[in-house]
Amino acid sequence: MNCRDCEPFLMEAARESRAAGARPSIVSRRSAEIAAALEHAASCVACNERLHGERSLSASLRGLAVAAETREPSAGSEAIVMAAYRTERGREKHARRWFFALSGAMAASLVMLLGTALLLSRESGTLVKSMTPGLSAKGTAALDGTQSEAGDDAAAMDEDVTDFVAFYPGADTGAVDAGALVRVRVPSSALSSFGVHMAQAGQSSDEEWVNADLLVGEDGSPVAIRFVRPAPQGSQN
Amino acid sequence: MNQESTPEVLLRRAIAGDEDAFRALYRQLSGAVYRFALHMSGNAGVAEDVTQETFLVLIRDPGRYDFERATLKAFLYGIARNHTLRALEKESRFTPFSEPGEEAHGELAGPGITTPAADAVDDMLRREQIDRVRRAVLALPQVYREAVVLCDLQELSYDEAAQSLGCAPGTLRSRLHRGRELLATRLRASERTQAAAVAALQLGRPREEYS
Repeated sequence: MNCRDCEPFLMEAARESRAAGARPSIVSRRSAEIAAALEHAASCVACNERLHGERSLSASLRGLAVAAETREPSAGSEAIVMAAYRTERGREKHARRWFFALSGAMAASLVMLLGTALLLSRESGTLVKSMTPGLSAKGTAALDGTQSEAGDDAAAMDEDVTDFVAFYPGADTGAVDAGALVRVRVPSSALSSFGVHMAQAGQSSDEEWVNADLLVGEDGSPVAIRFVRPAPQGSQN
Repeated sequence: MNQESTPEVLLRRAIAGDEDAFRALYRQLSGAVYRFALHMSGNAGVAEDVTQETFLVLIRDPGRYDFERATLKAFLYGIARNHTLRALEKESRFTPFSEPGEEAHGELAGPGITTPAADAVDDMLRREQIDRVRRAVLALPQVYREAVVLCDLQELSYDEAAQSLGCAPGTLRSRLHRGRELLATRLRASERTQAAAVAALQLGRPREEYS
């Protein structure tokens, strides 16, 4: 090893000797190179002087480190840090409690929503069937001319129904192939608004409210309406 | 240190809400963090603040520490280093320029020890030497100072020190090498100055006696 190769290892050699018996973590693993550097330094005046300087510096630094070894932060610092830890834990606990409460509420809402959706889908399954054109129980003016099971259902329910009337001018009742039927009660005065005579709807003029089926499209907007009345006793079966 | 009380294990327990584990962790590492800040700033007040801030970061955002990436000690040194540099920058904005650490003269020279008269001179010389080294370390440029403080004063391995500073071990080694060179130069200069002062004092004394 020459002086140039030796130089980088002199610092390591000085630090290693300083650390000997102190902290294994700082002892260099490159001991073979360091041994070679030490061997060279033993026979080279310049490198030996340099090694001596490095060792002296390491000793000075060690003195400073030892002098500071007893220096610790004050007890007040520990109290502040521990108080902060407690506060943060408390906040986290609080936040966790809120999180669980909120999650529970959301889960409950979701279950309720799903339940409602399930119920609605079951109901609308029945209603969708009855929503298809041709809903007249008595085969009167079916929207697309076919008789549906729902019509039979309606018949089974002992009801007479009118034809579907467009809910607003220009509504295309024939274009609806999915949606829901919603049973509502409307003032009998509404009959005339849809151009249905009281007699046609089977209502007597003294009835204030009449039943009606509202055909609601997929977008939730009403498309058509039909009026319902209980079937006369004699028309059953 | 057994497996149960390594800083990393204590931190996991502290995150789970174990206050005693956090206290043990603080007691295990706060001294090292404090001394690092003290060596870097030369100011006990700054070191105290930095120690608190470092642990507050750990309390508020323990997720910042990646258990796989570095030791907790290296991570804390990294945070302490950033806070120290910030504190020093703030101080330099508001205090008049002076030799770094001048106001903290003697803070690291160790507690006063009552010794027999024969040892008093040795003790004084020792304290003087320590103070000179402390001032020389404080006068180093920051990149070299932190390398010297971490490796030579805090006795971290090259890998740990490099993790703390966020650089490669090779970079750290060359900074340490350069830092030690600068330090040796400053110490030699300081020794020469001191020797000259002593000589001047000795030359002045006879004249006073005869006047």
